[in-house]
Amino acid sequence: MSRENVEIVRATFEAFNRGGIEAALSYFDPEVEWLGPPEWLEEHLYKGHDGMRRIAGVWGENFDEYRLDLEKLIEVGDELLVLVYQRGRIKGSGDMIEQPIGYEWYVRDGRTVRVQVHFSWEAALEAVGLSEQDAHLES
Amino acid sequence: MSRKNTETLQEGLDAFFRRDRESWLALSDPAFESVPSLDWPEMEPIRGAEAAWDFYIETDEPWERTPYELVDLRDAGAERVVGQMRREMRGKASGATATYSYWVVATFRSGRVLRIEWFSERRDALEAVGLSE
Repeated sequence: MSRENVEIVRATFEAFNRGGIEAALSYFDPEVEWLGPPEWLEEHLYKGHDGMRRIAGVWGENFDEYRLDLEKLIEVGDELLVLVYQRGRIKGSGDMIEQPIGYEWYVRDGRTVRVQVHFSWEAALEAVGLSEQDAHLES
Repeated sequence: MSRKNTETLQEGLDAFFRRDRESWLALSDPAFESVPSLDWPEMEPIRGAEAAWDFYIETDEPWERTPYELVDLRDAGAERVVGQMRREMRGKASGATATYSYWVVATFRSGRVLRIEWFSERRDALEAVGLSE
């Protein structure tokens, strides 16, 4: 695992929070695959930069404000497990949400090539055979 | 704020940039500790100046060598300084660019750097030393 990948992922989230998906696209391979979680009711696979724009649009249309705050990066073989909080203000209601999201994140040659999304940290950790204790996370 | 301490911190960064191990070690307390940011893969502090040097070299290896800036320094009392370390990075192999930006709390002992604690957010670094934004 190259430490470069850690900083690439950090930069991706920083760019997204600063300028949305367009600002972050340069960190994604043109053929990137973005896989929704098993319980995701929409299209499961979003491919390429257009796919990234589509998923960002589908998800973002629910929020007036939205950001992804990076909490923990864990090296697992040749991938990174990325644990974040998604925080946003639900459109129309003004209610704020805060939800833990986990990603299995694959970087090759400085670009993200594949992301598998999980709707909880537990599911993400389980997918790579880790527990919260392994990851030194507070319960 | 102790000017000597901030100079020591900057000299350490300059020595690292030059890959001048001897000078960097001379500026670091032998009991030096590097405490990772909570979001890093590293779970435990790296203890000992030589081990920390090796870690910093290894983590920097994928990037083209560019200088670090030390900015927004504040006195945190008790031989401590808080500030931001930043640099523009470009991957040697990938060409990918990223901005390196961390906040550090540096603790000094007898004119040497004893401990560096890393934070991804300014407010967390300030909170660690009892300061606020």
